[in-house]
Amino acid sequence: MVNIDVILAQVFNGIQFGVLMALLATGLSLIFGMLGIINFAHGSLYMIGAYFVWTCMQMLNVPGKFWVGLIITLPLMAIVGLMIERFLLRWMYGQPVVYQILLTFGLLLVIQQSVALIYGTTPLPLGMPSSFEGEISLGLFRYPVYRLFTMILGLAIIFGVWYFIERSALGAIIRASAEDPETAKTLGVNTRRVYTWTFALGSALAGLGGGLHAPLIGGLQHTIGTEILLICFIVVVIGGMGSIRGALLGGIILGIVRGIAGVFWAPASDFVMFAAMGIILMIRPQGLLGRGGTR
Amino acid sequence: MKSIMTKIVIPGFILMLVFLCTGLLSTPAAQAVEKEIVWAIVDDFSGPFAATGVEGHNATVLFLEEHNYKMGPYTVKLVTRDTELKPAVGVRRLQEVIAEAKPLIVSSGNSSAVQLAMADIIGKTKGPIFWTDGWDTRLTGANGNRYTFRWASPNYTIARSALSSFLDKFPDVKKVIQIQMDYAWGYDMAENVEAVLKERGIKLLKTQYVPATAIDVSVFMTEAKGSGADAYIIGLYGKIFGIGLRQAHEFGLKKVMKVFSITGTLNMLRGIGSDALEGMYLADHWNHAMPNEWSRKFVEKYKKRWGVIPGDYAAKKYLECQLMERLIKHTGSADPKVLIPALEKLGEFDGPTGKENMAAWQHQIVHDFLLLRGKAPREKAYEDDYVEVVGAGRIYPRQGEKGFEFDRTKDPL
Repeated sequence: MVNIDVILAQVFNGIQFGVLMALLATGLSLIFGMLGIINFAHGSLYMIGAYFVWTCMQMLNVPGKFWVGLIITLPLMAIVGLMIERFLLRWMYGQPVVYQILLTFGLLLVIQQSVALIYGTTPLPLGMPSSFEGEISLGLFRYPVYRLFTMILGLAIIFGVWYFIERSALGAIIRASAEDPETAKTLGVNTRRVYTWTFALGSALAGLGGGLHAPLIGGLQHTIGTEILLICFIVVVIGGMGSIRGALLGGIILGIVRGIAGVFWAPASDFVMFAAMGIILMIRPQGLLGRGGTR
Repeated sequence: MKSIMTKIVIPGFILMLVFLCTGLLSTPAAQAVEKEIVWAIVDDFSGPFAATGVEGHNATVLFLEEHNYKMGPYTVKLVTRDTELKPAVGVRRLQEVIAEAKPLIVSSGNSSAVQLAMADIIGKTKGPIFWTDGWDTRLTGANGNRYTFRWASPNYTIARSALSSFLDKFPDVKKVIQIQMDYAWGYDMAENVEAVLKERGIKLLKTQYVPATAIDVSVFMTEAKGSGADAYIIGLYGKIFGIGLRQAHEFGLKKVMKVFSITGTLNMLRGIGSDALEGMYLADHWNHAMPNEWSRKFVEKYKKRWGVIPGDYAAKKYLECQLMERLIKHTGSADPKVLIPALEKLGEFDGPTGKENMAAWQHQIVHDFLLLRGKAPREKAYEDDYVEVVGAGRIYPRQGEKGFEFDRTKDPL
């Protein structure tokens, strides 16, 4: 007999995990939807974000250095994204997908090994901000404060990105550049610059995800981006490639399915993610909110 | 006359000198100085166990540098290969290194799945001498062979020595839940934990298996917390160890039950931090604060060379070098058929944990396995002061016991 408090806690675990994955998948989906690039290096951007936060925390001696580090990481990751797009990815637009995959996968390995050379292979500690330690009562059960916070913050950021892309004037330019670049160009839009900034935004989201997730993983290592990448792809496939709302929906579905599986048979919690992806691919190959066919 | 000198005498003299030198170099004494042995490290240099691989390599380099890359009359050439933590890759690299470099010794890593696959190849190819660090009991048990040796304690010992010490400390523990890794090492460890619990009449509520590549274990922690167990036994290693212990702390498991981790290697503790380790019990093969001469000297030398305090993996790799150097020097031989019987007759020696000895019948070095307690941040005297040694045990398989009805020294070489 499973208690209701355990079931609720597992559902919360699922949603929290799903939102965090959705945050990462939002960047991946944004890059694919707008630039048509399948970015295998996204996992290493997540990893660099976590290392940037750690580095900032070592260099700073101010109260709330985790949060300051997280804020500093955002523009730093955008710069990393800008450089990758400007010097590497730009040559891949319009090329066969296999070239994009080879380039971004190669980039993943290069970044991973570079981080190992710079920071070493020993896990680096990135503890939780002290004000977010411990648990909070949610009526029937208690839940870790930091997890609850990342869940709320993650949802807010995803909503913000969605609002920016779908409702703002700048978002309209990005969408126009993605859907009909030729017309956008004739209307005076510098599409190249739009692509660069879109990639920078996706990279910043990946770095933010890495920084937020780091206190939960008990030691940074250069390999942390590899496993997360696979889950991000599952989220994107379930939600629909190129759709931000799809990434959120995919993440939450994945998380809840994973959480409920955890109630009855915890070892199956990873297996069910792949099963869910397989079922969605069979029923709706373009994903739940995917439009099927992008630039 | 000048012409005869330049055309016959001088070239003839040079030719004679060449012959003389060639002759001298081919004498046994000169050959011994020139002879080279290959020490191959086939370890996990990438993937979740990369940090231990690097640490072991550094300890080997430290020893070889101290001895000017010489073992007895032989010059040592060090070659390295990466298993990538994959059994198939490990086997391929081992076969490559045997074919290309013909090593006398292969020193390898601590992933049991990789090690079991590699030990199988060593048994079939009859050599080279193989130092393994996998903890799976079978490596010096049913799956062992005459060429394979181990310092790391088997799961059999880890469960019986450290877990028993932990249970002795907390006699109120009547129900436990355990989390193990979903591969060869985890299954073997789970069985050994179950055996100890059964002997003591303690109820095992559940065994959770988690993949080594998992990035979140919150579902397992919530399940453990709601299980009503008195203790949570964590059998994780590598990256997932950090995730497991960090999240056990985050979900407040220490407040509702005792938490005991079967592993506690220093480089993994560094990633977790003392806030999470406080009040947890852990276990390890060795600790840099061991109060013996071997450890004091080794820590000093390692720290001076590499700038960091070594973990147990470095200690065991340094000891492997030390033992092999001693035997090569003593026997003057680089022949496994001479060195293996000499290793079997090693007897007692000073090692990382104090007095240690070789159990020849199973090719296992017998030494203490430690129980540790996680220190609070305020208790730490220096950065790497994460744990204190609070107990030790030395319970190894007995010859003739079920599954151990063999004598490796009788196997053909």
